[in-house]
This record gives sequence, structure tokens and C-alpha cells, in this order.
Amino acid sequence: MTKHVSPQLVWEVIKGHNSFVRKNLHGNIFSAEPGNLYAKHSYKHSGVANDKAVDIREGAEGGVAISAKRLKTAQKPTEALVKTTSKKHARRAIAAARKQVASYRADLQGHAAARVSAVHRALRAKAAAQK
Amino acid sequence: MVQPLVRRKKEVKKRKHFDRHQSDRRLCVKPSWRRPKGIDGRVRRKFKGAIRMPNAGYGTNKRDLHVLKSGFRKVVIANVSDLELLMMHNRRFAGEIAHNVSTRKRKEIVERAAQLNIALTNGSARLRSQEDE
Repeated sequence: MTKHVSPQLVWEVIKGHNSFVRKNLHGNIFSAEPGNLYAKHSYKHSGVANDKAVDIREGAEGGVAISAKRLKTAQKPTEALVKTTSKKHARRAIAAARKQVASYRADLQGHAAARVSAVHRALRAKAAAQK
Repeated sequence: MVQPLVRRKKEVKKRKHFDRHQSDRRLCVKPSWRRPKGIDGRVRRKFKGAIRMPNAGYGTNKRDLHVLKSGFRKVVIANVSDLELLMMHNRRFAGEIAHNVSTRKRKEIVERAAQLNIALTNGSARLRSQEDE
């Protein structure tokens, strides 16, 4: 049984460099971490460092896949994220995501809603292109 | 077509080049900038009427720096998953497909960028079909 390592310590270790950092032109730095809603390289948004993180992306079979880190396995990156896929309409999906994140990571609520909205827009564009 | 969130008029502090002192006098003195270093140099001593020397004050304002004419900053995209980085930043950043990406993969990137509503600076490159030619 491994001991719990504080998120601050993990962040201090990974903030210099990690495999998810995408450094681009002109000093733009992004993060491709799972659980990083805003693709931003920072402690607040880090999906690896934080014990609580939310991941929102397109589901493999359509819909929006929302995953949240389980506290029990937060220290095991491969097992931490628990996924639920919803095929709700955009408005309901956004409201549901807001509600889910509010009690979990209130500071990420806005980003979660915005990301669900972006995923839905992409899904709609995809569906329109297939017609 | 997605538009940038803010569009600022770029402030240009000096339009003309900084030409090397006395480059107008002789062909062998080329106009590319060299700092005058002589002990008596009037340009170096910033006399009235002497040509201006470049300095940090002429620099581009930070918020205008690297902003394209379209109002976006650009990010190099090498594959489809790189586009996901810009999903939440599509009003600030535009993608630019890396130069060494094949036509086949370009198509995939352009398609996905349209879905995610991300602007591409070179989305039409290498996408001509054979009938067009």
C-alpha cells in the first residue's frame, strides 16, 4: 500500500516537465493531460497532480464522456478516472455537468460547462457533415 | 468561420527601418544595422538631427506580440490529437498544420478542426483534388 502524496508535492515534481506538456511557438504552453479541462499547464488545472480532477471529452460511441477522479485511487493514474457517458441534449448535459462538478470541484464548474458545450458543438458539426 | 475574441489594432511605433549610419554615403556600407562605436560618433552620442538608434522602447507591445493579422496567435499542429489542446482556446489561438504532415493526414486535421471550430492558417494547403489541376 503506497502512502498518499500531497497534490502540491506532485505538482512541484511534474511542473518543470512532464510528458503531457506541449510547448509551442512563442512560449505558448499547453497540457494534454487527461483530466485537464482547460488544456492549461497549471496546478489548478492539472489532472495528474490534483486528487480531484474532471475529464470531459467526446465518447468513443458519441455522447459526452465525463470522468472524475475517485479519491480512493487518485494516486493510481491508470485507475483513477471513473467514466460516465451521457447522450443528453446539450442544455441538459451542461446543467448536469455543472451540478456534478459543483459539489466536487466548484472552481472548475465554469470550465466544465464550457467544455461540455464545446464537445456538443463538435458532435453536432460531425453529425451535420455525415448527412 | 470562427473569429478571434479580441481584435486590436496593432500599434506600430516606427515604420521605417533602422539603417546603419552612413549607409547612404557609400555602397560598401550596407544598410543592415551596426551600432556606432566610435569615440566621436554623433549618432552614438544622440545629437539633435542624427539618425535614431534602435532600443527596447521600440519593441512591440506584449499583447500585440505574435498576433497574426487575423487576430489569432498560432500554434503548430502535428496531428489530430494536438487539436484537442485548442478546443477551449479556439477564439484566441489558430492552428497551423506542421510543414511535414502528409496530404492524407492534413485532410483528417482539417476535418476535425472544422468540427471543433478551430481556425487554421494553412487549412487549404495541399488539398487540391486531381480534377482541379
